[in-house]
Formats: sequence, C-alpha cells, structure tokens
Amino acid sequence: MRRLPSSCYGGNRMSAPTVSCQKCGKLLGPTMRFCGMCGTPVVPDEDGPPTDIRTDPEATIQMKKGAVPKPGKPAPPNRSPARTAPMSGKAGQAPPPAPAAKPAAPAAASTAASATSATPGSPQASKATAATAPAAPAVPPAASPAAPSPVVASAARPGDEDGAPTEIPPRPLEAVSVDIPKPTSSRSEFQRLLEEVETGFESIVTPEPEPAPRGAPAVERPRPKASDPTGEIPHDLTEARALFDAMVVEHARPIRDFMIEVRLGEPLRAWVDFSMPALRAILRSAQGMGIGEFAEKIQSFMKALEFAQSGSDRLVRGQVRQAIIDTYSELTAYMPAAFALEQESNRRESVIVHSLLMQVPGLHKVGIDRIYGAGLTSLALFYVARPSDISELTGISVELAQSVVARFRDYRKRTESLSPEHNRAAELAALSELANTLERVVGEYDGQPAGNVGDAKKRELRRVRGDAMIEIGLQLARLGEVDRLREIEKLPFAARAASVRVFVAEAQKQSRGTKP
Amino acid sequence: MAKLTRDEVVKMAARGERLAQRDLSGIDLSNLALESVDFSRSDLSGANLGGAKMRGANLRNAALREAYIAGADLRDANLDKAELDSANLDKCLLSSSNLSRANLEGATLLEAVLDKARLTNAQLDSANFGKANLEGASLAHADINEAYLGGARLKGADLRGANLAGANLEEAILIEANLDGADLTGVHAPSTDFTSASLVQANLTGVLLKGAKLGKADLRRANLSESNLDSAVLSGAKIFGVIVLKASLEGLTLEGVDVSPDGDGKLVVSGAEALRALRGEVAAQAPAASIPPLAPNQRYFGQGDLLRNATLEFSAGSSVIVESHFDNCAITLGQGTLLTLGAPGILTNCRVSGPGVIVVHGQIFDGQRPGLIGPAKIVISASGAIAGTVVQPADKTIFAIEPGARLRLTITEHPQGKGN
Repeated sequence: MRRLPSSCYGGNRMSAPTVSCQKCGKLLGPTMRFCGMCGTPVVPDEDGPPTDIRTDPEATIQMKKGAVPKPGKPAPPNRSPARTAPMSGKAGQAPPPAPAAKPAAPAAASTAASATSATPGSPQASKATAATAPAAPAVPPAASPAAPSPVVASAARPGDEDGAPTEIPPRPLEAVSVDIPKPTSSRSEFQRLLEEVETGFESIVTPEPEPAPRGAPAVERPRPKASDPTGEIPHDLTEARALFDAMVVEHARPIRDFMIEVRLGEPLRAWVDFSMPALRAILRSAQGMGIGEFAEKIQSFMKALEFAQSGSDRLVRGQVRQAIIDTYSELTAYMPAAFALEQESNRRESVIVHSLLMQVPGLHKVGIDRIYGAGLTSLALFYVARPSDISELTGISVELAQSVVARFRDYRKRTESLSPEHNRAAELAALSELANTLERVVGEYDGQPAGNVGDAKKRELRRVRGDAMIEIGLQLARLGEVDRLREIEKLPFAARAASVRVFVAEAQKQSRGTKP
Repeated sequence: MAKLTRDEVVKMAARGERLAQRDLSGIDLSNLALESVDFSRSDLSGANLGGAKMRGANLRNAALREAYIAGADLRDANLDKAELDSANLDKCLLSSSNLSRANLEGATLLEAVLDKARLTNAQLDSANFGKANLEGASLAHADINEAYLGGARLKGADLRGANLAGANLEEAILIEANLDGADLTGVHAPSTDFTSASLVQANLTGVLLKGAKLGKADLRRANLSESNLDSAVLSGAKIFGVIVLKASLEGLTLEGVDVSPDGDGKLVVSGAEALRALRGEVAAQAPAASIPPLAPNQRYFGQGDLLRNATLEFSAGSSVIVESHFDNCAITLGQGTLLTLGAPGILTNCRVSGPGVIVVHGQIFDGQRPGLIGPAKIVISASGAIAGTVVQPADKTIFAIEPGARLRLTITEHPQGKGN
C-alpha cells in the first residue's frame, strides 16, 4: 500500500473511511478510491483519510452506483483553485486580448489579478501547506518542499476553513505582495515595459539564442490614437500587466498541452522540450516586468522539467512526473487563466473516453451509461481498472469489460509512444486520411438507390461512416479541438469531411509557419 | 426557386406564409420558433434545426436527410413520409407526431421522446433509439431491422407485425406491448422486460432472452426455437403452442403458466409440468368442439400436436388441415390437393412439394430452402406469414395475398421452366 502525495487527491475517487487496498491492486467493489490525477488506487492511512479530503469535501465524488455525474459530463478529474476563483475569462482557454483598462479600474478586473488573491505565500496558504506538504520529490530543492498542491491552495482560501469552497472577492493588484515597480505615468517607463514584454514573447517563435526579429508576430499592443492631440497613450502599469497576462495565456498553450499529456498518462520525455521555449520566454518577460514571485514559480517548474530531461527514463513518470505536477500546481494557483487545465482537460478527456467506449464492440448506450453511472469517467481509472472490477461495478459482462480494458490499454500504448514533434504531424495526417475515408464512404452511400432500405451494403457503409466519425472525434479531442468537433457534428457528412480537411490544412500551414 | 436565407424564413414564418416545396438544404434554422409552419415537400437536407420550436409543423414528404434536429420540439408535427435518413434527432420531442412511412434509416434518436407517436410502416433500419421514450407509440409493420432500442421505453407500444430482426433490445421495457406476429429473429434482448406483452405467433427464433422478464406475457404459438431463455421469468405466461426447439432453458422460472389454447386460464401448471408443456412433451387438450367436421377425403392435424421428421403424402383431390406444428417434415401434395394451414398451424423447416393449393393462415418458416416447390397456387390470408422460398413450376404459381400478410419471400423459377 502506498500513499500518494496530497496533490494527487483532488480527482475522482470514492470516499469511504473503511476502504482498503491490497498490493495486488484489487479494487474492492463500490468503495474504490482513485487518484484523479494519475489514476492510482489510493488508500488512506491507518489513522484516517488524508488531510485534504477532510478539508475539501466537495472534491470527493461518490463512485457508488447511481451517485454519479450525468453521462457525457464526467466528473472533474482534478480540482484546482481555478474552479472557484473568480475569473473574468475561462480557465485554460485563451481569452481575447484584455481591453484597455480605465486608469482608475482596479487590477482585479483582470483574470490574473483576481487569481493572485489566492496566491500561495499568503498567510492562509502557508498554514495549509504546512499541514499537507507532500514528501519531497527527487527534484532540485527549489521545486519541492514548500510547493503547495492545488488542493492545498484551494483549501487555503480565506473563509474556507470548513472545507467549503468560497468565492474570493477580487483584490487590487497592489494588495498582493508581488514585487512590481511603482506605477509611473511616464510614457517612457510604460514603453520600456511594453517592449520588454514584446521582446520576451517574440522569442517564443524564434530560436532561443537569437534575438527576436522585429517582424515576428506579436500580440497587438495599444497605439496612440491619431485623434489624440497629445500623442500620449492612456495606460498605466495595470494595463501593462493585463497585457502581459493575456500574452501569457496565449503563449502558454504548449505548456498546457504538455501538462494535459502528463495528466492523462505518462508522456514521452520529448514533450518537455516541446514546452521549454515557451517557458523561457515567459520567464524572461516576467523578470522584465519585475514579477519576481511569478518568475520564481516558473523557475521551479523549469527545474522539475530539467530534472526530467536529465534522467534516463524516456517517459515522464513516477516521482519526476509528480514533481512536475506539484510545481505546475503553483503556476495554476498563481495564474489560473493561463495554466489551469481542468476545463480544457476535462472537455478533451470526456470526448476521448466516450469515443474509446464507442469503439468497444458490443458496447452501446446502455452499457456506456452504466459505466459512467459507476463513476468510471476518466482515462486514469480505465488504465488501472481490471475487467472483473468493472464488471462488478457496472453489471456489464466480464467479456465486455475485458474489451473495454483492452481498448483503453491499446490507446494508452499508442499515445505513450507519441512525441510532440512527430505526433502532431502524424495526428494531422491521420485526420486527413479519416476525412478521405469519410468522403469516400459518403459518396458510396449517396450512390445507393434511394429505395434500397435495409440493404446490407448500406448498413456496412453506415458502420464505416460511424467508425470514421468516432475516430475523427477522438483525434480532434486530442488536438484540443472540442469546440470544432461540436460544430462539425451538426453538419452533413460530406461537409464534415470537408471541414476536417480545411482544419488539417490550416493546422499544417500553421505548424510549418511556426517552425524555426 | 431560389434558396432562402435564415432571415427570410423567419420573416415568412412570422407572416404565416407557407414554406412548402422550398429548397432549404443546409440552412441554419436552429433555435427558431417555427410552430405550425408548413414545410411540406421542402428540401431540408443537411439543415440545422437543432433546438428549433416546430410544434405542429407540417413536414410531410419533406427531405431531412442528414439534418441536425437534436433537441428540437416537433410534438404533434406531421412527418408522414418524411425522408430522415441518417438524421440526428437526439433528445428530440416527437410526442404524438406522425412519422408514418417515414424513412429513419440510420437516424439517431438517443433519448428522444416519441410517446404516442405514429411510426406505422416506418423504415427504421439501423436507427438508434437508445433510451428513447416510445410509450404508447404505434410501430405496427415498421421495419426496425438491426435497430438499437437498448433501454428504450415501449410500454403499451403497438409493434404488431413489425420486423425487428437483428435488433438490440437490451434492457428495453416492453410492458404490455403488442408484438403479435412480429419478427424478432436474432434479437438481442437480455434483461428486457416483456411483462404482460403479447407475442402471439411472434417469431423469436435465435433470440437472446437471458434474464428477460416474460411474466404474464402471451407467447401462444410463438416460435422460440434456438433462443436462449436462461434465467428468464415466464411466470403467469401463456405458452400454448409455443415452440422451443433447441432453446436453452436453464434456470427458467415457470410458475402458474397458462397452457390453455385460448389463454383463458383454464389450464394452469407450474414447475416441471410447465417445463414439459413448454417443450411440447405434454400436448394440451384442445376443446373437442373446436375440431371442424371432416369430409371423407380430409385429414386434420389439431392444435398442440408436434410432428417431427415425418414424410407425408396426400393424393390428388384430397384436403388437409394443419393446425399443429410440423417440424422438418416432407409433405408431398398431389394435383389440386388443398393444404390449409390454420391460424395456429406452423411449419418449420418443412419441404412442401407438388402441384397443390396452399392456403396459409398460420406461419411457414422455411429454413431448409427451398421449402415450397411447385405449388399451383398459394393463398396467404391477413393472419398468414411466410419466410422462405417458393420455387415456381414451369407454368408459374398463382399468388393471392391478403393485405396484412407478412412475407419474406424469395420466388424463383423452376430450373426446367427457365428460358421457356
């Protein structure tokens, strides 16, 4: 039996004080408990459940039959402060560029500013950290001992002592102990800051050692209006910070992609390289802006990644993976708008899980709903569950449960061997091939005589068409294109094929354009 | 006629104008209020009608192929003969709508509400009705082949004469449904609830009914050959004349089973006796009054008898009435011999040859093809059903088929007659 670090306790699990787990991994009926982050069966200590379970009861999801989220809306595998922190934008999604703030408006109006109110480092956060600090992972010291988990940060919010989530009132940026130079109204100071931000982000799309080219795409910055006789820009530091936050959100995408891969399994180490350039750029910008606390958290995370890079394991797993998750949780707590994965990850994961279940022969709506009804809604759970357990929990036959487990294991094996440089291109190519298949089948189906109802050929074509659509959905979800999938599903099949092809072409073009 | 835009449709609908016979293919009419609008014969193929309010709309003969209609309100709508091939009608409200003769081949209707809807003679091949509500719906003579009805609610639904071959009914609720004469060949129906359903003369050959609830169901003269009834509950069921050849009957619950011919509760047995009755080992006594008076050249095979592997020959001019069950028999008819298969009569895997006249009120399931060779005339009444192959003589067979007869017939020419 082993106990996981506290940061692992935030996801789908069952809560039952008497739960016990054997070393063989046998899941004991409806009282199973899993870690939502890594899917590992979790066993509480002899003296009761982990602290964070007590302090965050809402994060507990009962996995008993019938006591589950609605099918198709799996329970959030993890809970982070982003879930309850007041935000103007959606966590994990890039909001539109921040509008020009009024000079008198508090910084809390921006997403990141409000999130900073829950910043670890506040007295409450420190208290909770001391109570539940995980065992120090094998990473450089800066990354670990004081690193609070997302759950810790969540439990540490003001007014949250009893475990209930509490809305945090927006606080102005000045109220946070962040090392930011005093705002000045001088134009030159603002321009300097803006240039630093821009320079930092330009480097994202260029090779690291070289200086950023002036023509590189960058987020549009405010310009003096022609109608303004003074030529002055009506900005202050708050606006610069809002712009900085928006750019972090935009450019943190590869980092989020990487962390979603970490969250869904054990990705190849090459994913680390994939996210490093963006991190370096954000770090430089944070330092340039004088946001020391943020820069420190980025550095901690980077150290965990560097440790993963230096290891011999080709996969990101074990303590290395845990250290990455822990240090990343600090970033999530600091700036949920840019780093929170919950919403984006859940949307992707629910489509992936549903697609994989749809691909199991003999499993249909009734069986799938039974599986969801038993709380089996995340990839991590399927990775560790055994057929007998699934059968026992859901009532589906053992044979069917074996097929389910086999399908998820196949998928895990397939995705674990993907590397970021090659797999995006390969996935796009696969998507293109699926679009071709769909188009061909639709053409054949349309060519069948109208009155030929119940024809075996038409049935077969419908089956192939359906299979292609499920696989397209799976691929689009992997690429983070859930919204696109939802739109495509409303189109007739020929238009779906065309739409997928357009997307692939755009994505390939973009990919070529951003390569150094 | 030029294509209309969404705004034009909105304006026309607001003015109460008809939108019949319009080309509206691919149009986005999602979430619009289009109650009672006339779209009859319009082309709405690939249109987006998701969440549209179309209660009482007229979509008769409309083309809605591959349309996205999920979550739309189509209660009381007229979709008679509408073309809905591969359309998405998930969670659609279709209560009391008319979908008679509509084509819903390959359509998805997950969790759709179709209570009291009319789907008579509709084409529902491979449609997905997962967890749909079809309570009190009329699906008589509908083609529901290979459809998915898992978890669907069909309480009191009318499925008389429907073709459900190869359909999936896992955990569906068919309480008090009427499936008389329905074809359920190869249906997957584990844990399905057929309590108090009527399955008189239904073909349930090769059906998976493991753990199914058939309490108080009327199974008289139903064919359950090669079915799996393990752990099924048949307590209080009416089983007179039921065929269970090669069926798996382990763990069957058979308490208070009615074995009377009329299903009137006059002869009720339980346990081992009921099992013997189910297997046809004990022939229930048919009332003497029901045996028709016979002419000297007539032969009569009454209800409750089971004749297997027999060879029978009836000379020219004779007449034979069969109201029992013949299995794997070879029957030779002379010139003009009249073979009348009564309503309770069933021929399974039999070979009937010779230039006789065959009148079918019962059922012929012809596994050993061809089953009917060289008949001079075949008359099939409204209650008759034939699934098999007819080999015509050189001078062709005369067919007389009453409306309502259920046929899955292959008619071939006699090898010697070809090219004549």
